[in-house]
Amino acid sequence: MSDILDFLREEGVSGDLIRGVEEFRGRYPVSEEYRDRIPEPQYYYYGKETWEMALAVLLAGRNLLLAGPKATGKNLLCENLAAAFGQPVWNVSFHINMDASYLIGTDTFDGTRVTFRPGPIYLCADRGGFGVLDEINMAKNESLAVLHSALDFRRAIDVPGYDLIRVRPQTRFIGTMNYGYAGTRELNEALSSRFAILSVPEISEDDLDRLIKRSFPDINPKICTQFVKLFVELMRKTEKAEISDRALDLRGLLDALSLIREGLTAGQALRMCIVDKTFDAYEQSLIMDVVKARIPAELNRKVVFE
Amino acid sequence: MIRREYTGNARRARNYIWNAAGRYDFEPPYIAFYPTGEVDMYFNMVIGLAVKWFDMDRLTAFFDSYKSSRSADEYDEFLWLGIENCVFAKELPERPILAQLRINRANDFFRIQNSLSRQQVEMQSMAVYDQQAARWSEILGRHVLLAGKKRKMYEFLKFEGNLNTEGLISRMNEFFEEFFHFTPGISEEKRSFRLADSLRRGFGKRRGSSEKLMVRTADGGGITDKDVLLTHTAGMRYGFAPDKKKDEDYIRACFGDCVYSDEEMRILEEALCTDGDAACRLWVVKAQRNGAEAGAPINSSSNVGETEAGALTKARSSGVAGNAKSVTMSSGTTTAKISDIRTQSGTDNSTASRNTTISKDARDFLTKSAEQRRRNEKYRNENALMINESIKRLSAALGALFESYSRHLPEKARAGRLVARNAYRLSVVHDPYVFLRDGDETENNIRVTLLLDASMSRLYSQEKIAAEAYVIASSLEWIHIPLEILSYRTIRGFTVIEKLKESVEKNPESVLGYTAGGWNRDSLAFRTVGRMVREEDPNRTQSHILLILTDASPNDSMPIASGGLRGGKEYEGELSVREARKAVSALREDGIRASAIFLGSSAHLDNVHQIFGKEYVRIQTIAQLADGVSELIAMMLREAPPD
Repeated sequence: MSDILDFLREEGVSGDLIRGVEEFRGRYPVSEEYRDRIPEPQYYYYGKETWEMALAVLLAGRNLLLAGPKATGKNLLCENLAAAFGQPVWNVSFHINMDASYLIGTDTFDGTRVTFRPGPIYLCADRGGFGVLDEINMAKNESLAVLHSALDFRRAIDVPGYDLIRVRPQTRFIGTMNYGYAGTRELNEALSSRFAILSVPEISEDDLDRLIKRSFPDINPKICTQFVKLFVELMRKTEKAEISDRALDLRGLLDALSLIREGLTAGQALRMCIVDKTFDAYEQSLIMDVVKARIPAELNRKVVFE
Repeated sequence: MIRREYTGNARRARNYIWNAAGRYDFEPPYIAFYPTGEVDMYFNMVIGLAVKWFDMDRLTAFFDSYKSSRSADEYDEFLWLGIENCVFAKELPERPILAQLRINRANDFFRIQNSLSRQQVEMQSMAVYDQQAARWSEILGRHVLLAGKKRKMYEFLKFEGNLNTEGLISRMNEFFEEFFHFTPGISEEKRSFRLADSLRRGFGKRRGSSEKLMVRTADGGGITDKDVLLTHTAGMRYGFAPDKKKDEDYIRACFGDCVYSDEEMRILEEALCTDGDAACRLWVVKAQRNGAEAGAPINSSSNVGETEAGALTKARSSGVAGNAKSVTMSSGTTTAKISDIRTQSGTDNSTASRNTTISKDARDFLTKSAEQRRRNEKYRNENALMINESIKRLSAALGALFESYSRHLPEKARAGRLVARNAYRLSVVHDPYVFLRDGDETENNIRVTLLLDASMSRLYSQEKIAAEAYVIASSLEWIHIPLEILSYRTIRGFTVIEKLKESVEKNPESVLGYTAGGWNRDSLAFRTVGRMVREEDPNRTQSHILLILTDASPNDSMPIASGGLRGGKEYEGELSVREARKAVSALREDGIRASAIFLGSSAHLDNVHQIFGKEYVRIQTIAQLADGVSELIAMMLREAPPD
């Protein structure tokens, strides 16, 4: 677990904040029952300033809303934050038909009597940990009203007919949202005011370079630069709406490198992990054009990895 | 190889250029294609790299300085060969794959040369071919078989990689002096000015006269980019001495029969054509076009000399059913006006000759209308990717928005909200389905009408407007929101409301029949549409959204009726804006949520604000449509319905 804090030190994150995180861990140990819910990140989030802002918000006991376009690493940051604080994660993927009963819990019949089956927010509040509200703006605002009391100074959930649940002191809620993403809506003021909102920037060339090099330490630095530039060119093309954001997939880029390591050529790997993420033939040709102007199709692991 | 105009593959070529330049905020001055029509990847990258490394405005000015020369294309080819060498050297360290792409380009050059027909080879400039062949041979490691002056030129065109813009222009100037003995910036520039002047003189008269016939100015705001502004010419104004029967025949010939009976129309006109619009008429039609038929060739010669009714029948039977005017139609309209004036001044025009004139006008209109439909379809197809993406984004955004206004119908479930009165069933009949949860089925309350301004001022935006309307129509259809599409224009005193798509129909393609032409008496059109909405469902106006695609420049040849002996004031400028604002207020008082998608020029921004208040959104490109329209609708839905 100390790895991620070492990583934060390497990134130059403020020592005070890192000490705060260590104190938090000491103050709120996790029982054995929930230890397997503490994430072990495969990748780290790069961006010192974003890290510092996020850590400060959570240390201050506030909830955090990560807003930003696709492929900025919002979910990665959520996972990394939970790992840094050493807290279990309760994930809720929001969708259009989300309602209060899904979040808090619902009545059901256990064969002998009607009982309450707790939802993920209830569990997060009651057991402690980080509740990740993924794509929070996919749900209707009115169905999120039940969260208000849990998210504000009251820190409680009153379940009609059942108990009043006090939110544990180590519980934090981290929302993610993507402006303009298909199916998303604006959060209303009542909800957004209960979060500190952190706009997650697009990953910079430098950070992407370091992310790839940390994930693939043996990558040829010159080749790595070309993959970074390829991703940046796809970002520009997406920004200008020349292509959709389907192909703008950071995980896809890392997956492509993994496949090259497994023995595929760069052309094959990039086609599977980037180009074919869109199903429109013309759009595929535009993306392929960008790839062809950067990465030779026949590039193989002997060249890519040293 | 390098052309100045865009063709079918132009977007792909432009993407190469933008990508290599690392920016998308410019229109490439050149695009490269192979003689076979394939996109030339490498040379488009070279163009993009030239934008990246040099001040392209200065380079473009340099290229323009000799463009009137007969050998301009040849010069372009030489210079781009030089620039290629320069940007290759500059970019290679950052983009190592460029070396391989250059070799591929060299191979392509010889592959394509071998596949050219003899005519194509003969059309090539041998001087350019020699230089290109030498360049690509050297890249492939072959011998360069040039000598003398050609060899010297070949060496000269290897522009070095350390040149900046200044240095490059200097090298290009040296090239012209050395090999063609002229300085482009001086002698050629003067020549091009002279040529342009003479061209302007040659075309001046014709253009001027046609502007007089069909161009109008709305409020003296001046002509702005891509807007046609029509002017009221003294003595030419419509309504001077209208021949009502002839006008109605003309409207019927162009748009088809009114969907309402005479009696219904009389009631409608008595209710709506009042006060300032007292002299106006209304015509409500169902568009009768069919995509496949409208695209069919038109045999116009077969109609010559026939009466109007005959011409209409013929045109429709050959699949050309029209709705709107085009440029030709507009000129035709004016011809009709002139004939009116001539008749008034004593010229003896027989009924037959009038009919022939009208017949020709209507036929022109139908032909142009069909042509416009084909252009709309072509535009839609060429921009399919962008349009589909906009549909996807808009339908997702609107789906999320309207979801809040739809009610999930409850369904029985094993978990959810306990229905107390059914709880006994758990133990008595062992039925676990005593809970209710939100089901998948929803009940929707919202209805939308899309109203398109089809006046002449939209002439240069017809394809774009049709595509935008298509995006909105497809998006709403995708999320099952009932949508009606109407267009409006005013011609010969008739405000024609055309139903392009009714709310029960499932065919967004019908909007591609949109054609611009005529005037726009916005106030009367808005009131008529409001009336139609109320007639259709008087109890549900509160949930009705009226989206008006407009340039906010109401303007009609029929003056505002004054009721006195003095002639009314022109329906234009501030007065017409005020009338339109009153009509929008009336719609809102009826509960209809009227708002505008503004597609006009900045000169009319104030108008749209005056007419619609803050309920409008300005759209300049289709890519903005999804965000703009969803924001606009969100704004309307957020606000409480008017009392």
